[in-house]
Amino acid sequence: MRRSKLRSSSFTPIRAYLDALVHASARHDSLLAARHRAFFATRLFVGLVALAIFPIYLAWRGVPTAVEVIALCWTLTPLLLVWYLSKTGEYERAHLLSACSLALLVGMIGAVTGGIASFVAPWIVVIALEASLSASRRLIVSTIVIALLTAATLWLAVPYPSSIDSAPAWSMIAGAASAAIYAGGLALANSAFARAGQVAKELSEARYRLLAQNMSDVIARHGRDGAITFISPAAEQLTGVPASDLLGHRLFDRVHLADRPAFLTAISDAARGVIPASLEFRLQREPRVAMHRSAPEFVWVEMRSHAIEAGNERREDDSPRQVVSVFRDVSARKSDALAIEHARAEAERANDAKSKFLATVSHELRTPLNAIIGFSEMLGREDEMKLDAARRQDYARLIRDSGEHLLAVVNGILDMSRIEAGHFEIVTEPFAVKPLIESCRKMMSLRAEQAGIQLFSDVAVNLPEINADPRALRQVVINLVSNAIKFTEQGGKIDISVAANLDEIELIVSDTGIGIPEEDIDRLGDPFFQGRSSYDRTYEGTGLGLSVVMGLVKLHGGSVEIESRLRKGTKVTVRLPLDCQKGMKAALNNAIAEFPRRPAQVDRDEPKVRKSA
Amino acid sequence: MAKTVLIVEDNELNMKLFHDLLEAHGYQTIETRNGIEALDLARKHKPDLIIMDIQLPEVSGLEVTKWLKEDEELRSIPVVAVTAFAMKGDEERIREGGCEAYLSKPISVSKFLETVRHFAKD
Repeated sequence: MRRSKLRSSSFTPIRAYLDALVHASARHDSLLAARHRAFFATRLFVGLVALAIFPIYLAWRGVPTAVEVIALCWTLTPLLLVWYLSKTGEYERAHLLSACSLALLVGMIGAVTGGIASFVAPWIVVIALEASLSASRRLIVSTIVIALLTAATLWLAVPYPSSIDSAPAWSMIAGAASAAIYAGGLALANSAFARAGQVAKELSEARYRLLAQNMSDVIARHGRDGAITFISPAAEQLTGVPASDLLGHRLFDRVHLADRPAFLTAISDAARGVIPASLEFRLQREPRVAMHRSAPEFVWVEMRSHAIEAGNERREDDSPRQVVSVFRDVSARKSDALAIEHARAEAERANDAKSKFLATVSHELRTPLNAIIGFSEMLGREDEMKLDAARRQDYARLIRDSGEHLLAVVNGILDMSRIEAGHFEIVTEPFAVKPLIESCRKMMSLRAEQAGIQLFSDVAVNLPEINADPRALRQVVINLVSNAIKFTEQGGKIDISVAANLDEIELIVSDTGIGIPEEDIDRLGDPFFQGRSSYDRTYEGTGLGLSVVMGLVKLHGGSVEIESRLRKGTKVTVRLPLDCQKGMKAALNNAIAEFPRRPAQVDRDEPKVRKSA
Repeated sequence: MAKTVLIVEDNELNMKLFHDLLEAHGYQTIETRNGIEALDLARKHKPDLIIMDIQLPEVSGLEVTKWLKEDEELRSIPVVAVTAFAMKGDEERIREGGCEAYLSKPISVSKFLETVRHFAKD
């Protein structure tokens, strides 16, 4: 097209003039506009030639006959037709009028110049031929009828043999030659249109290819049975297999089993034209790197389907229509939504756990407070209660005990929340473990003695210095020993041992106490949780000691493991890295992230009677 | 004849508190720290009133109350919940569980005695 434009650059003014004549309704369609232009060009040419010939003919023939005047005037009708088409844009009608006018002219001249043997007879062919430019079947048929009628009229009006001499040879040649030239011009115009049509088609195909190749959305066409008859190349990006491998029912074979019924429903809904169906489903995609035995990989795909009238096919009203679907990868959106949902659930869970923790704290504070307030109120009503001196002493002791328990609970809660909120400041320094263990043992030995329990410690002689928070380690040891004393009967024994093991130290506190029932092991370390047997004792322990131990050890990047056998004893093993500085930062972050989950996670892979943190 | 009160309470100090209070005011007491035992004791002694802690080691006081109220014979015995569960909604939850009265810990001695007197029909 561009080439032909360059070639015709010398005709630019004429071209511009022709363009200006094209009716607005034809301007958007380049091919139709070209047809209009061709119509204008031929009619203008014929009209102008007729105008030019008119004076020459007059000069040559002298005074013309009436028929000659009419014929010459008639040759001006093409100019009227140009005006008509330019005004109305009625291309077919203009052609029809043109054919009629040509037929009349040919008929008129033919009638006086020998009928069917006249020199204008070849122009009858042109009448029909010209309509081929219009590319309208109806028009071509009409013009053929007009041409035949014209021929019949000439043949009937003037019998062929009688008039044969009236036509001189030169006029026969001129008539045939002009008709042939005109017909040749028509053929050229036709081939130009065909070329223009081909170029336009190629252009639109190229445009489509560009669209199909660069669009990530996939377009598919489903046949009457739902089988895919066409799918755009973008399908390869979506599924990892060539689009041709998805034809027929092979796309359906990749739809997630759980989504298949919905998929079929959507297609059939669309086919019945109920609604433009929309569905999100999972589609199996070929992994980029082939891994054997790996779980199939799925992408979330959004599908929008709607029915189409299939081309020229006739359709019964109740038969399903063809369906066109657009597929789009919505995995990213889906995973975002899932992440948000997960975060929301997590936040809700955290909030629940927090409320539960608060309720437990309230409960644990009110219980000792009840004894404190109750007994002190009774002391205040000495007379009413008929209290003797021994009773009063007893109550005062109970109030004090409860107060101390309350203090222990409050301290424990503060330690716990500091650890869990990541505010427990661990200040590491290198120190020797042995003196610290010794001082703890001395500190606890009085209590052990009172309970009738023997307390031993055994620290390996070649133990290296450890980089940790000595204050925290002291609390760990004291809490563990204190627990052991609480849950060991008179005559029992408690061992504290420390040994180095590769790059960590192993602190073990073992007792010969009552042990922990298997079902309680998992819950050890939950704030305020105490094994069932502890209910037999009064106010011993807050149920926070082990939680604090687990929290502190975790902050050091270490681990806690508990083994216990009912009525045989309990063994708690604490492992700390020699350099706790390293594990600290990560552990701190974990503690923040997990708050207010239970301070220690049970390692489910461990046997049931063991617990690790 | 002295009225009998069954105390269901797992905390030893609180048990002593309730026992001493009730005893000083002329009540007879039966004590248990275990919910299942409480049901047997109620059947055996037909107490005039039950003081019920809610957080108990094996079955909760609410569960025990439910069993009591389902029992034709024991249904009429008033149950006074005395509990450290004192968060919003706890009282409603416990009253809905069938307890006739609800007292939160820490108790007020006079309120406690008043409630006991009211339900034991002294």
